[in-house]
Amino acid sequence: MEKKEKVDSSISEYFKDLLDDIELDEETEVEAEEETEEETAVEDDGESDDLEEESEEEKRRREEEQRRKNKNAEEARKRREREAKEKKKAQDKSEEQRNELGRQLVDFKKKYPDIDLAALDNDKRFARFVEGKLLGKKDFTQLYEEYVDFVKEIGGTTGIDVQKEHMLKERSSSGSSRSSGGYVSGDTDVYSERDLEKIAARIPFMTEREVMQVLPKFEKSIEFYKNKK
Amino acid sequence: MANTLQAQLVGLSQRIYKEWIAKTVLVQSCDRSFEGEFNLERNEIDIPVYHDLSVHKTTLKERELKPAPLEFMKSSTIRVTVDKARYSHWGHLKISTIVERLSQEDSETRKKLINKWARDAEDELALWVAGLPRRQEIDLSALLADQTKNPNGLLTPDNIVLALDILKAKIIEKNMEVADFRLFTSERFRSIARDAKILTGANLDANEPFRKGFVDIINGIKIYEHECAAITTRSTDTGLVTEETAIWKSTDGIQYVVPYKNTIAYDIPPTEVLMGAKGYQTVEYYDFFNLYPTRLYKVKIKYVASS
Repeated sequence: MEKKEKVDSSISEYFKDLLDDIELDEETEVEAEEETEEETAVEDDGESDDLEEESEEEKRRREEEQRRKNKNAEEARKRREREAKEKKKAQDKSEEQRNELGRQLVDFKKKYPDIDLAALDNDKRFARFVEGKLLGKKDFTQLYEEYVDFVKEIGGTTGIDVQKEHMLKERSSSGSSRSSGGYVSGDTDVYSERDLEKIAARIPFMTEREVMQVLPKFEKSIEFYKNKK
Repeated sequence: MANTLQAQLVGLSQRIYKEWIAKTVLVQSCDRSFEGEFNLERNEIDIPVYHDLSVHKTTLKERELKPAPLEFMKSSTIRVTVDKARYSHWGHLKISTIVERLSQEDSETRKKLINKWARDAEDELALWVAGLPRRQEIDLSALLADQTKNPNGLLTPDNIVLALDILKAKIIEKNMEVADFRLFTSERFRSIARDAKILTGANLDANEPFRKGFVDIINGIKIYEHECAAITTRSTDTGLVTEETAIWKSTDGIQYVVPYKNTIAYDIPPTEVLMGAKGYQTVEYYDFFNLYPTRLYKVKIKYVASS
């Protein structure tokens, strides 16, 4: 009977310690609790000293395990952050390139408002010419001008002929003042003031053929701005 | 627009060029094309050359086996340095006055200028041709000389067809096309043709009569009449031409380029005008070249002194 009471007190002490441990370690996992319960069940038949030592060892093991898990989780988090950062960087770069190309196309359109970008896009020769050169050292306008010169050089055609291939097919029929940077005259348009100044600076250097193409519209534009004053 | 007047001057400079060229015979007959833009710093321009196309020969079987050779016509232009300029000052200091005087449809000021420039350009070119080396000379007076009938080798109604045959033969012997060539002579040549009753006017094609100077096609040769006193010698009595240097050339025999035409402002110092001012001058840079000596000849012709 005394022996039985002694065993009971040992068990109650063990549970007391165990409960204290649980209170101390708030992060103890359910799995660990289950293991503890199992061990408790086993230890019911064992000696109380052994149980205490094993509990300490188990506790260290669990802590070690927890640290390892935390470390892995931390590494995974860092990896995810790094990957997200790289992805964002690539997206930013792509966005930047798109913006840069957009900016170059806007500049191009300002200089050559009569050139149809869709027609240019469909020109396989131009596509081959600019392959690998876009967003390089030269901007889109420079590449286009080089292309026109190149075709002129090997094909014997004039720059104007090459540009004509890319001209907008449809023109505004409203007769409103529409900017035109190209050197082909239309019957209903006048040059914008900016274009008129640019063409005036170019005319002294033009060939007779080029002058014949711009002069009617040029003179009409001068009349237009004289009357506008 | 602030620079409307300046832009008008640019347009007027082109108009002046077009008008004076239309008044010429020799200059108009030259190849005036050029490519690219005139380099104002180096005074260089590219002009086309036409005789560098290669003819490749092959058999059909061989052509099937070998791809056609890739050939870029890089040499189809030649870079030349332009070394001449002509300019005229306008005696007005206000740009608006100059524009007004020049832009009127029947502007006397513009007419005077284009007449002077046309005549000057024609004479300059004619004198240059007359100074070509002997290898580019066909001396008809020597070739037509006959010790008994015509010791001085004068061109007469009796030998005018022979003279034209000689000119054609000189071209044919060099494997060139007679149809590419034109003969530029004084009005005396036309008189001789008329006296020989071979000037019919029946051979006119649709375009030639509208070009200044065209006379007729005689014996298959297109004849043009120039007005360059500089290359003719006239009788002091009658004023008729007794000797002349005619010009026998193809279009590309002379390449005449005018790659820059403008009306520009220049500073007039206070010593000339009180407080100083801006003056204006119409300027043209130009030059001419004979890249193919076999396509340009001077022809010595002598006529009877009095009729």
